Amino acid sequence: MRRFLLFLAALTTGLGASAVQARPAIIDEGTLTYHVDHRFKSFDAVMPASAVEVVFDLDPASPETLSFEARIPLASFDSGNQLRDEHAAEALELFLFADASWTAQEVKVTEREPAEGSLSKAILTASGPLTLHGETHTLTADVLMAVAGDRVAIQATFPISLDEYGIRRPGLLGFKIDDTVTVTVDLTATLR
Amino acid sequence: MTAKTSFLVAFALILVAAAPIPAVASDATSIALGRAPGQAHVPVLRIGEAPSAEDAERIRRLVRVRRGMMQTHQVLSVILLPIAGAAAVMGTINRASIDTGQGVTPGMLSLHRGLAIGTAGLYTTTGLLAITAPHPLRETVGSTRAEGARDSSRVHRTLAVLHAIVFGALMATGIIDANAPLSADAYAVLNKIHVAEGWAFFSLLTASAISISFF
Repeated sequence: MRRFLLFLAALTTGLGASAVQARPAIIDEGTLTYHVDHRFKSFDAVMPASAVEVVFDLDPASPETLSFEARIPLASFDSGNQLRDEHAAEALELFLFADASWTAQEVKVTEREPAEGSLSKAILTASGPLTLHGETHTLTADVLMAVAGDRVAIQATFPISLDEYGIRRPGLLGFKIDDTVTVTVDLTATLR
Repeated sequence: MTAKTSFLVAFALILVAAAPIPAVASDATSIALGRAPGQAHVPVLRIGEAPSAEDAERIRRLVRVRRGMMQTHQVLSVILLPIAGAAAVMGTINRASIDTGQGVTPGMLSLHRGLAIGTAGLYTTTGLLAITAPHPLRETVGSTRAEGARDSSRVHRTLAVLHAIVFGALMATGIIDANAPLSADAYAVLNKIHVAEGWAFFSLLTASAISISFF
């Protein structure tokens, strides 16, 4: 099911005559994936980006205006194995903490490529509180963003420590899964 | 323990394994899990609906019970595999000894029967742990999986049904083989079937363990 959510009215940054206009965006497609390593196997669990509820604003001319607030329904992750997903749900205590949320409070442009026609690319560093399993810590992640007209593509990969968020790691045959879970965001959106 | 007693024990284990699992936990189980007899397992919740502190603690306790039972299931499975394999090997050696006219010594027979009883006991315990483990998450937030979604755990569960069926047949032919007054020809046929079942059981167990551990 695609859940297009949105959004706040476009923001005006109040920079006088050169004010930039951030515009809300709708997620078109993409995925959110977490990757787990274990001594015996590795696996990915995927959810469609359309399952994520996100408030997402951007002025395409000014990547640093990117802001977002995402709510991720963790039960939507599918690893292709029901028993494994149930172990994850137990470990994440979904009956208490059904969602994770990440809000980008600070966005910096770390690298910006020259525009090629209407296509511009930038690498950003987004930082803000990630709440998972009822615990909140600051998450800083590199975000690759490409803008072409009204279309925006975003890719980000970042590690999350399960121990840091108080998540008891499930095990198999006496060995727990690795502490670090890698999360990958890959989505496209359309600015309104 | 005589051979007859040994096989009566094995037969009793089969009956235990074949007994229907009650849909509602017994009073003893209820008390062990810290709830009043007859009380529902866990409250029904919707995703995102916060349970009361008391309900949350009850669900957490059931999750801990489940994790303990499933981890024990995994450990016993690892112990079970070599014992079941050794029982099949000893059965095959005994069969070959009969075929070549060497005959089976009481020691070889006892070793096979000991391994078979060990296999039966471990298998029954391992299976019951998986079947009777509480499932608090499925009972509270339910499954969010789409109908017909890919589910590789189905392989493990299908193999579990198959090795349970073969296990029943294996024990039955083993008991008949050891106790029924059969003609030499009938005994030879039954014994070969029993050996084949032993290897089928071991193969299915191995495939089941591999499917859940590596895929």
